[in-house]
Amino acid sequence: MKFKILAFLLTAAASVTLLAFGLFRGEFVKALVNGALL
Amino acid sequence: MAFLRRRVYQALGAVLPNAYVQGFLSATLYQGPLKGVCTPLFNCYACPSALFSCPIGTIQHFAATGKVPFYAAGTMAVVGASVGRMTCGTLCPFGFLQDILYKIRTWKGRLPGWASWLRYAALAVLVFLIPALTHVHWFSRLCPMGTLSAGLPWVTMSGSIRAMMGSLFWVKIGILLLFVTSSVLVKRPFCRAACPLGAIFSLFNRSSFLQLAWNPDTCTRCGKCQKICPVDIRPDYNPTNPECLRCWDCTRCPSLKMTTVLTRNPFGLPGMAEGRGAEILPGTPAG
Repeated sequence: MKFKILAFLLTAAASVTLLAFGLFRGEFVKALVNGALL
Repeated sequence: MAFLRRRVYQALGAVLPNAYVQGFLSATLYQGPLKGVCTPLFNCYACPSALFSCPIGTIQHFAATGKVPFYAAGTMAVVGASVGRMTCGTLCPFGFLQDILYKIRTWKGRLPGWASWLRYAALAVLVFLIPALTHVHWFSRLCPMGTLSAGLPWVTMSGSIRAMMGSLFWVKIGILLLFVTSSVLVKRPFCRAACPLGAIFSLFNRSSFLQLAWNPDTCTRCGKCQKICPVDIRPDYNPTNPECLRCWDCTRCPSLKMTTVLTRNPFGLPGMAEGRGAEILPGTPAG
C-alpha cells in the first residue's frame, strides 16, 4: 500500500515537472504552430 | 447503466474535440490557441473540425526536429499518472469506433498475447526513431485515424489535395481497412497492437491515482469479466494489467471496483484494512 502511494507520488511529481518544464520552454506555442502548419 | 454512460462519454470524446464544424464548411483548419493543447486521445489535428492537437503528432514533430517533447510528454504523463489508460476506454473516438464494429455479429477471434508488444514497437520506431532519422512524421502518414478523420475528408473536399493523391494514400486506405475489418473480428486490434498513445498510457497503469481493485474472497473466477472486457483481459488475474483500458465495464461484478491508491479497504470489509484483499493485489491465476 505504501509502495503504491510512493510510486504514484513519484510518478505525479515527475509528470508535473515534465509538463511545467515544457510550458516554461514555450513548447505550447511550438505545438500550436505545428498544428497550424498542417 | 455504467456501460451506457461510457458510450455517452465516448460520443462526447468524438464530438467535442471536433467541434469546429466551420472547418468542413469552409475547407479550412482551425488555427486558434486551442490547437496548442494536446488531447489525451487519438484525434487527428489535421481533421477539418479538430480543435486540439494530437499528442502523437506533436511528439513526432519534436522528434523530427531533433528536440525533446517535454510539453506533450508531460501532458500525457500527467493524464497517465491520474487515470492510467482511462481516456482510451472512455473518450478515444477510434476506440469507440472499434467497440461499435465489434458489436457486428460474426465469427470472433482473439489477438495473440505477443501482439501487445507491437504498440511499444510502433511508439519507439514510428514515433521516435524513424522521424528522428528521416525528419518525416511517418506514424502520422500511416495513421488510420488520420486517414479516416483527415485524409478522406480532405480528398473529398479539396480538388487540389485530390490531385496530389499518390500511392501512399492507397497504402493509408489499406491500413485503415485492415483495422476496420479486423475490429469486427477481434476486440480493439488497433488499441492493443498498434496505438503508440495507448503504449504511453499503459506505462502508468500500475502507479496511477485511479486503480482497479479486486476482491479475492468473493471472486469465483467465472471469467465473465473477460467476456465484457473491451480488450479481452482477465482483470481478476492482474488488476494493474497494462492492457486494461480502465473502462470500468468489469466493475459490474461486485468483486471488482474502481478505487484510488489512497483507499486502504476498497470493499469496506471488516478486519481487512491491513489484510488480504485490502490492497490492490496483483492477482495470480487460481491453481
